[in-house]
Amino acid sequence: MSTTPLFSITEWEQDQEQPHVTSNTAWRILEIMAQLVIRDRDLNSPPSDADDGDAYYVASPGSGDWDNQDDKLALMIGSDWHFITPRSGWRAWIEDEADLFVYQSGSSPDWVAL
Amino acid sequence: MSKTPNLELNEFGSSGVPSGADLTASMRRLDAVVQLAAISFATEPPATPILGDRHIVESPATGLFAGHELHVAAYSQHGWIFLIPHHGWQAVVGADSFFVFNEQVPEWTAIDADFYSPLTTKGDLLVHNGTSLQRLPVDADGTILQADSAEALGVKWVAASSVGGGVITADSHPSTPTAMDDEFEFGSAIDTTGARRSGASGWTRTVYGTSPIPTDSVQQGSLRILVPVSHTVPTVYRQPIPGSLSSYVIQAKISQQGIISNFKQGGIHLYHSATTRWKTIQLIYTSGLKLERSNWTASTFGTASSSDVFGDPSIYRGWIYFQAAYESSPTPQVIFSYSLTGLLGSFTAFHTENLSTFFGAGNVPDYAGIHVNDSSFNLYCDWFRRVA
Repeated sequence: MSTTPLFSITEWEQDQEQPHVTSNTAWRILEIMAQLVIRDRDLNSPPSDADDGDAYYVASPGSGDWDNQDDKLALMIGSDWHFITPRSGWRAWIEDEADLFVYQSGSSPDWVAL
Repeated sequence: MSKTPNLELNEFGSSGVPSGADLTASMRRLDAVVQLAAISFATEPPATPILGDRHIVESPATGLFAGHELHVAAYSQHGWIFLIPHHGWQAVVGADSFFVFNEQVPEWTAIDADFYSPLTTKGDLLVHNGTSLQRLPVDADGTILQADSAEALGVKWVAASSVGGGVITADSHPSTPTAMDDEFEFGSAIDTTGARRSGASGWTRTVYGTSPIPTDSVQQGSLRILVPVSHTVPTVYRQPIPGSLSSYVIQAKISQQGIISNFKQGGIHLYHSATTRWKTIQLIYTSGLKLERSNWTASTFGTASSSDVFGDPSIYRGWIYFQAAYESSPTPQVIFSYSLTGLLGSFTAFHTENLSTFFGAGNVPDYAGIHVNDSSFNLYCDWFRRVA
């Protein structure tokens, strides 16, 4: 099973089973990433009140369902977490800080306020 | 057919893929909102839209935009499509204005577009001018920041020396000031009881101790100018020193508290208009500048721009010291006058007294001290000293 390089969207395969699931997940990822709103960038485990469509940034060290997902975006699709490694230059509104940020990857990746 | 919650993309059903039209509709919505950059806020569609044009609909929306206030309108091959924004959506509008959608209001809130810091130099400050963030260049070492609504940026750098009075906190004064250095100490000892007196009330000789004032005694008070916010020409009350007269030295120390820059020119001085009986009149600033009576002229007393007389006009703070020696006959006049120039405009007031009244034996008034009877303009006398 291959995934797209940026958003880790699962690609269709030959004789794809349940293509609607794969496709709908793709839609969901795209619509979130189109206007990225991160609820919080300081949590390292999933909040109990996460809703379908929410996006978080996994603070290090990730734990629970976010284990080994440090410094990734965690998107709740349905009731599952989908993880995307952010790239430098991506911008996001971080809701709990009420400010616009740009991501900088590297040895100490972080969101930098504009 | 169900739709995704944010962009209303047509979801795939378990029975198969959406129709080509549905897929295309979804693509258009994604196309419109990824890296959202709108041309403008608009109440109605432009006359000749171009494919890909996006506007943010503002009130009062009319025509095809009617009912779509705050929505993102995107022009596609199938006409205008509208997207309902969600909290936190970001949009560039026009060339460089940045907005974020705030669902609570709801509104598109402008985010300051200074993506690139205007700061260039070590110590620069970022300040808001009411519209946007601006650079306040760092000033010379030692300057301090002062709020000033008249400034374009609302703040300015000022020399620390120009705001000294506001931070005078010491509350002691040498009980027997004899050397000039003593007199330049900052102090706010108000009277012998430590109470602060203002206006015409509360200035009794009880406060100042015995009467007549013993030779070389120090009657403490505080001669202090509180800068008026609004003012009328106040009345200046005299400082009488009772007792027989031969020669006196009256020394008073005046300080100002408040907006020092208003205490600009003139200060308080004694002036003898007709018969020269003064032996000494001095006006001294903290700069150490001493002004002898011989340097004073009637005209300089009448003007608020006598910087040549008073030295560096940038030195507005601190103490003004004056002393006068007087012989009892004939009867000269003393004029207490002062002029203030500053942000609040200028004014001059004076009060004329016969010196015989001023110094007259048996004239033991209720007032002891030089002060101005004006609720918004108060002088306090730090101390008076009689020298036989």
